[in-house]
Amino acid sequence: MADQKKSRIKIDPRFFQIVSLLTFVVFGLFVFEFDTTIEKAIVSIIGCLVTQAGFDCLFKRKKGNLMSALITGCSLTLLLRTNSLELTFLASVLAIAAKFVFAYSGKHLFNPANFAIVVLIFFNLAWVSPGQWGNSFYYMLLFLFLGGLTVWKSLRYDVALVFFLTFASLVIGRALFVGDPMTIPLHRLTSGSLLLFTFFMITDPRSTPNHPLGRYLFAMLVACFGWWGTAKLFRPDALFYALFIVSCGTWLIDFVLKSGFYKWDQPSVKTIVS
Amino acid sequence: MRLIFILSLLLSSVSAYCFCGFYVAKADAKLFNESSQVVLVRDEDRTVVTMVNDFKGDIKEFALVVPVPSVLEKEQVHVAEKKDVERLDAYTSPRLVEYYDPDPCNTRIYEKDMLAMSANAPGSLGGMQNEKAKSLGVKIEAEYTVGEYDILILSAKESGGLVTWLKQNKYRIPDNAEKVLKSYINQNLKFFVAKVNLKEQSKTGFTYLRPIQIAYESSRFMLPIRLGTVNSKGPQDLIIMTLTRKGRVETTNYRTVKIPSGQNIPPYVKNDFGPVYKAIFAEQVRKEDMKAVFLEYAWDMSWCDPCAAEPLSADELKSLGVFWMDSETSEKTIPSNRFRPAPGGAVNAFATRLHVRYDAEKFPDDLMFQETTNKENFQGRYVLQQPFEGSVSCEAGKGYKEGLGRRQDQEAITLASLTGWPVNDIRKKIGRPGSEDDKPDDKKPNKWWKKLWDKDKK
Repeated sequence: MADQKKSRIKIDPRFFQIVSLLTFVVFGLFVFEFDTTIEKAIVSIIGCLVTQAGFDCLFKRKKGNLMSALITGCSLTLLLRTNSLELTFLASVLAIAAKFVFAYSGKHLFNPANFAIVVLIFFNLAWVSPGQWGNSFYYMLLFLFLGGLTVWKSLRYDVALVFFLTFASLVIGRALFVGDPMTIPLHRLTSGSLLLFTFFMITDPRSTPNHPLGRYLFAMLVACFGWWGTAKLFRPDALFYALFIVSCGTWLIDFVLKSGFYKWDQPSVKTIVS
Repeated sequence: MRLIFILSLLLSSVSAYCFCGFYVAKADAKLFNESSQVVLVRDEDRTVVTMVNDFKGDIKEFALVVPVPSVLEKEQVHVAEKKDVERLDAYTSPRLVEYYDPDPCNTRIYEKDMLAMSANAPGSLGGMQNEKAKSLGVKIEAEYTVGEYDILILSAKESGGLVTWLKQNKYRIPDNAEKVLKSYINQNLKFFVAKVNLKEQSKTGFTYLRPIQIAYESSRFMLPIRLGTVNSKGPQDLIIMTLTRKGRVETTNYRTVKIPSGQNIPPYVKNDFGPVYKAIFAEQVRKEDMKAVFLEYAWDMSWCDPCAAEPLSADELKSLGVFWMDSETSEKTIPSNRFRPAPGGAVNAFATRLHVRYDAEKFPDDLMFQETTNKENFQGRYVLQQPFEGSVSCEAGKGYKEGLGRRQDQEAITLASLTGWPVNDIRKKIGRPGSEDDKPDDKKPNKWWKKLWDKDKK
């Protein structure tokens, strides 16, 4: 009797992410009327799935990774804006290909959606709309709930927390320094785009350092560079560039702070040594 | 005591006109009260800002104070022509398209050209005298006369000194302005201050003050609206017309929302478009809780369809600050169709028209923009479908009449949804049956229960 253990249904944390992102996609397309189309959303998602299947076959992967590809497709739908279906498809291909091309020790160097966004923006082929969600109180609650649930299940809430606290400190600190009323930093910190970035872009276990301290360092660097780009260089896409730049050093952090490998079916804060 | 309005406390005037010779209506001259107009030209980090002044008071009282990113040299300041801004305003205004139903017994399609409404906006006002500023921490970085304006570029070490200097020079500064000025000073911004040089102004022969243009280079792409909310008694309107090379401009710290467009609305609006659009805009502002910036127009300036005004030429665009005109050749192809191209060949410019109603509570932060590569064309456009008024005696005509009633009902419902007006009021205007009570007795539904209890009530 004592040896009996209740069987627990293990749900892949990516399930919560997919549910959250699909919810946001529906709201974005039909309530907020984003500057994109249903056709582009379909092309983005199918593009990711097809590219993933193709690379899985090419690299003879026994187990496909279509869930992650679906997440990438939804992320691109929410974040990336292009003028054509062709560029939308190209973004999907770039995002998935980056996972295979820039890979090390079973991980990928860049968040796939972020890689595609930065490459296309850099070459003036696409743009992001940071203001598309506005600052609605009720939608902010929705982001907090779904985003919080997602990072809780994936046990990556620490990264989200460190990033947001660092970024918020810089935003509020700057407001205090210049003498802005607190309504201004509050307005900037309740942006739907910032919340989505916090919960879904920077918490990807496959492209962030394995060791907790490494992740905190990673999050703080992204927050610092992102804030600098926003406040000093006035770039609305600064956070995406910051994540890209800091990601270039993830392998170094993993090399210095050795830790285990994250498994989706056995999520852990400290990572598991496989 | 001289009065100073800082940047954005303006009255507006509106005119509606048709360039195809069909005079339709002239909307109320003050359609959007407390509104202002700005033209922003931007490419990479280079910016040209044109601020429209339509000040109606004593020009000695006029002054304009604008935060700028650096000390501007005399060559960076220019006085523009009001007509150029009015042209762009008319060109980008929300418009009506009028179609005529063909004779159902003899089908041909007619299309009439459009109506346009525009809002041009006056400018700030105030007065200024030079005073010894050094002791207050205020430094006059530059001083010159451009056109009918005397210009000062000020820097300040602290906001209290700047406010004191302005008050000593007989400006009535609202108390809250000091906090906003402090923020700009701490961000190392300078202050562009303009007053009217009466002698130069009399030489111009104009009875109004012309728009001021400033050109500068800065990674900031923004409009400082906070100063304009300080002394405001309520929400204000700001119409921002941008001209860029790559594509559409949008705000990055507020939602940019498209104004409803393409709907069929009742033909009576032809003579009432001003108040109708005012109501449409107000309803959209209400739906977004006054937290959004509205897109009214986004279009490649090479062509237009329909054209609310004559397309702007390359020279006109250059006078508005499009500085890349000289280096661009007309390599772009103009669509070879019935749509009207720009005179003189293709122009490489994209126009965006943004309209925002704001106050300090809903818009605490200055407007921040970005230029995107979004080339999708959009325009605020409403459709009038005039019914065929001739005699209809054929079989097809019967179906047309029945369908016409349903279409008119739908148009009334659409207009009600757009404006927030009661649909029955609209139905009455177009002569459609409204509520059940408006119907003749023999058409009303049989309320049999009235007979059941009426005698008990007696």
